[in-house]
Amino acid sequence: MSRQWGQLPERGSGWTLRLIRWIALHLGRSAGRTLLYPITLYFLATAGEARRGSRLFLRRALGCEPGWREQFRHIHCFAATILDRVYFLTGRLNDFEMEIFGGQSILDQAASGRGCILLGSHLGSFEALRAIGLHLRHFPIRILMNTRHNPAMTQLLDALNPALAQTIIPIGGPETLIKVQESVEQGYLVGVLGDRVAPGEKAAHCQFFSQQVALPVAPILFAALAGCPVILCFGLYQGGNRYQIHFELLAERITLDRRHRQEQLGFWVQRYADRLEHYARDAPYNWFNFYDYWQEAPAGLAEENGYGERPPRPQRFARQLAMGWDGLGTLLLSNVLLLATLGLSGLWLFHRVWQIARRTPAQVAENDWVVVLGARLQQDQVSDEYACRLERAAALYHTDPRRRILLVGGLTGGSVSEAERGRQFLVAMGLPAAALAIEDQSLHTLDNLRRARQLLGENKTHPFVLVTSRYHLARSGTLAQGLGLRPVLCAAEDRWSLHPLTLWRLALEAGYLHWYEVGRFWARWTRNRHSLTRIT
Amino acid sequence: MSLEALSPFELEVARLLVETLRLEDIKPEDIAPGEPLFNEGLGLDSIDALELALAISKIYGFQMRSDEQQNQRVFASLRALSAHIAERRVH
Repeated sequence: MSRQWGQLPERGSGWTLRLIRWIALHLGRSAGRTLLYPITLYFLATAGEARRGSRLFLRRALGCEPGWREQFRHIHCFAATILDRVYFLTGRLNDFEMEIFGGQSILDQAASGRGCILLGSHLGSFEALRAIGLHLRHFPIRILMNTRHNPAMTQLLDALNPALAQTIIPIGGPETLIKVQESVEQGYLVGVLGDRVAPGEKAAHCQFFSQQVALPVAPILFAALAGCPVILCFGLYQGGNRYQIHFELLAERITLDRRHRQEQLGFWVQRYADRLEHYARDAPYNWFNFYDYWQEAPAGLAEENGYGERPPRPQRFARQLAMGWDGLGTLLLSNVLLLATLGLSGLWLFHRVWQIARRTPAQVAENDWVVVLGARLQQDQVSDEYACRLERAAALYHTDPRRRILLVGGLTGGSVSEAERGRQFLVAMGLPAAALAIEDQSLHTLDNLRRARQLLGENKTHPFVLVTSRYHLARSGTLAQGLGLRPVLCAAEDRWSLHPLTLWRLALEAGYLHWYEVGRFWARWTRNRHSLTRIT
Repeated sequence: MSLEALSPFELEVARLLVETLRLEDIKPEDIAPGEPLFNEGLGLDSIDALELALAISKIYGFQMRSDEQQNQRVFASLRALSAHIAERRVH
């Protein structure tokens, strides 16, 4: 298995996963769990599509509009089960409390020596179920799995337990289910996830949270063809080190008669959906389908026979995860460094951010370009913070009208860009439009600066004035220098004043800066060209 | 109508295919022998392959195994499938 390491497409992510594994196994579960908080924040901040999926589900399951707390808890629950996979896969189950319900059905099944289908879902941790079956009971288990969707994850799992990787039946090729049938004949309990329809897969309509969804019929159809029982299973994470494992016999034998086949398939799929809904209500934060589960109103589905196809649905969250692996990896590394230095490295940067915020003057001598970093608009209007930056730019212009002002900042939520609103604000203050230039494509500080560099063109080695809020100065300055620019910092506020919110902001800036410095060091050290071109 | 004519045995297998998989809107003689059966072409999937394999074992008395190297080839077209059955059949 390990020979596949270099052959897989997402190379950049390999080291991140190795790092996660290393942290989990060497620093222990408590340290790993500490890191879940920044990881959750990272995904909450970067994975917009997943956040939307989470909201759409929680709204139904909780019966009210979920806030940030609920969404955080949702993603945190997901991250926690991912971390625990490392322990499950390596058979370290001693630290977990596993409460098993309906275990008799599976004990009987295993004792009979006959195979069956273990029908699971993306509700909770399927890995917990497998771990129990394999390590505690030594059941003969195989898992039908799509190994191509997330090769990075597959890599990690392979590396953690190569023997376990042998028990996976990869989905693909016409012979896939023949393989499953052989396994069942040999007495294997074959695990299948039944809550996502692959593109082009046969599906049946059913009601889920009082709304129509399409679910795959293959698991039921398979059990009917193979003449084997179907046992439902759910491994629900309950927080801390507790998991609840539920087994439930769905059907001892499924028979389909030729004429009523579609209705009968629909009936069994609905039974599955009902049980899934039951457990999803019971443990809503275990719902790990982070996309709009109800999205495609299945217009193209052959309604009359409840049997048809769905348009392809990209695995968006998986893709976002894959794209973010480098960022996540450096964030983890940054947190490990913080832990290792008992927070001193963070404290040191906090001190730097604090000093720069306090000491940077509100006037400068340079008379060339003045770059003003945009700030998020409030209901499409310039916020107090942004107004302060703009007024500083105006003051600089008035002391020396040779100065030219570049406003940077794109659309961040509103209907108009930060830069454009800033320009209107300055024109209203009486500044000539000719003195103003805007860049309204960039979305965050690094992006702002990279675009500013392009606009400054050949002047980029000349010093320019960088105006932003005091708390934001240290990071902006460091990022600009990292891009090869020569910023002269100028504070927006006249004087440094301190209140609790500022402290929190400074801490956040120090955290960002810590992450950035660690990322830059790491990228240089490993010569990760992708990351380097992002930040330099 | 397909351009290539089916051999009598290919037609027999085509009938089995249409019958087993309830391909109601397809006539056995319309299946092009060289066209892919899975994904594109007839658009069969892995559950169809299993159903087909079970029917083949019942009628022709041999098991199609998943670990056979030539599986991709066997399921590639009606012609390939028919040739495989003709070679392996017990009754």
